[in-house]
Amino acid sequence: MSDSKRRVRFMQSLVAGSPVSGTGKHADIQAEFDEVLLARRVLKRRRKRLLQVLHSTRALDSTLKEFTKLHGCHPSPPSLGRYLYALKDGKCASLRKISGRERRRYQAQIVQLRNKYMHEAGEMPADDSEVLTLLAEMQACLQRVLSL
Amino acid sequence: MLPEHFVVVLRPDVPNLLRGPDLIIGGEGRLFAIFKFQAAEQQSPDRLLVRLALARLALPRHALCVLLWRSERADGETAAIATHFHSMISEDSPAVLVDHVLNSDVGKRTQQTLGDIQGRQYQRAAAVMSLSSNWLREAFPGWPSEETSQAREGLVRDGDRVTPGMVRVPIDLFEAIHPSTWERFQTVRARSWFRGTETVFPTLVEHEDVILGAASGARLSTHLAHFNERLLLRTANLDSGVPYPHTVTQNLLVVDRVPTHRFDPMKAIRAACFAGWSLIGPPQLARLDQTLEQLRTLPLAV
Repeated sequence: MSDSKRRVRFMQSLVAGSPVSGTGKHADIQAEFDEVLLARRVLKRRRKRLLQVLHSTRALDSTLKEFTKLHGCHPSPPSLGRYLYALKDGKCASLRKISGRERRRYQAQIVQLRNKYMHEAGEMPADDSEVLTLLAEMQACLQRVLSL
Repeated sequence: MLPEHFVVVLRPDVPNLLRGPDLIIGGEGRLFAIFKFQAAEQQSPDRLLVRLALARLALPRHALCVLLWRSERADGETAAIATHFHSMISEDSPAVLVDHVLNSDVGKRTQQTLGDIQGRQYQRAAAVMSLSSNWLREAFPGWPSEETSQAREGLVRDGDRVTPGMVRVPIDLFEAIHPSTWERFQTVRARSWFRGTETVFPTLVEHEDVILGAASGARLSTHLAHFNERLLLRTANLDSGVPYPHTVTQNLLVVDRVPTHRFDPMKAIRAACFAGWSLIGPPQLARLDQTLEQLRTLPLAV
């Protein structure tokens, strides 16, 4: 199993093994992860990397949304950055908090990178290792949040 | 067979563990981490327990840890180890494992105490990782924007490998940089041995509340298993696989180069920090007292 596949499959197992699996969005989230794996077959590398960033961050975004919602938290407007702030500020009463340092790391390593590639014309991940690093940070974030 | 919606991952890549469970199964809100004895763990079962303990800290706390065992290992020692797992299933009976996954109702159980320990572990890891990154940037200029694969000139004067994963270095690695440092420490590991004026990586020394390790950054993944074993068993009591800390120590790991990991440059650093280590280079070792003070006063939950 390749490095990227082991990472994506691990995230899929975490989500399937979490309360999010009982929500109506679970199948869509797993489908987004599947798209990350399918994107590996895209021949044009820049497009492949962009698709991997798109689908993986959508999966993370939706997982955090469902997870925080399950714990009575509805950040407005809904966004990855807002979920992280809500988790830091203890807005989800039944969950422990992440520290400010953790939030800043996820913000810098995931949210800002995602925003750069999704919103700025011409911006692309430089190589496959950049996408793999992003996946590793997303794994870390997902694992941390589902442990709260 | 498990239903299709269960996700099964062989040798999952857990971001803050260099050695995680052998198998992860997730489905219907239940999460299972499956372990079996690896080759080195057959000889040293403590290594399996350390692997389990770190996995319990890293994975969501409702994860159930299962030990797969082979019938020829059905002795008293295996039975004692099995008490740290939620359950033990024979490798010869995959159907039992499937049944366990499908029907176990304790998978959603949460553990309050484990959650508290986990929270502190994650927050401390984030804090020491931030500090370690600053220290490594100072020690190895250019990192992380460019690969820093070579040690500071003179640190590793003899790079001959004596056994895989071990690099011969002068014993005065410590003495030359901080003359009083070496005298304050005692070598406690059998695998740290001396040959005349030379010592061999990996080295682990202890003094009062400080644990100081020296490792080759290029082989940190190998060395870390050995260091973690010592650190965890020295500072925590293991109960049902959960490490309950009883002693606070300052744990420094001096590296001769920035540790890297294939396709995830931060993985070795992340894993070391999660296990409780702060990584330093020669400059921080040279001002050890100041380095330790920075570590002791590091705010965790900010």
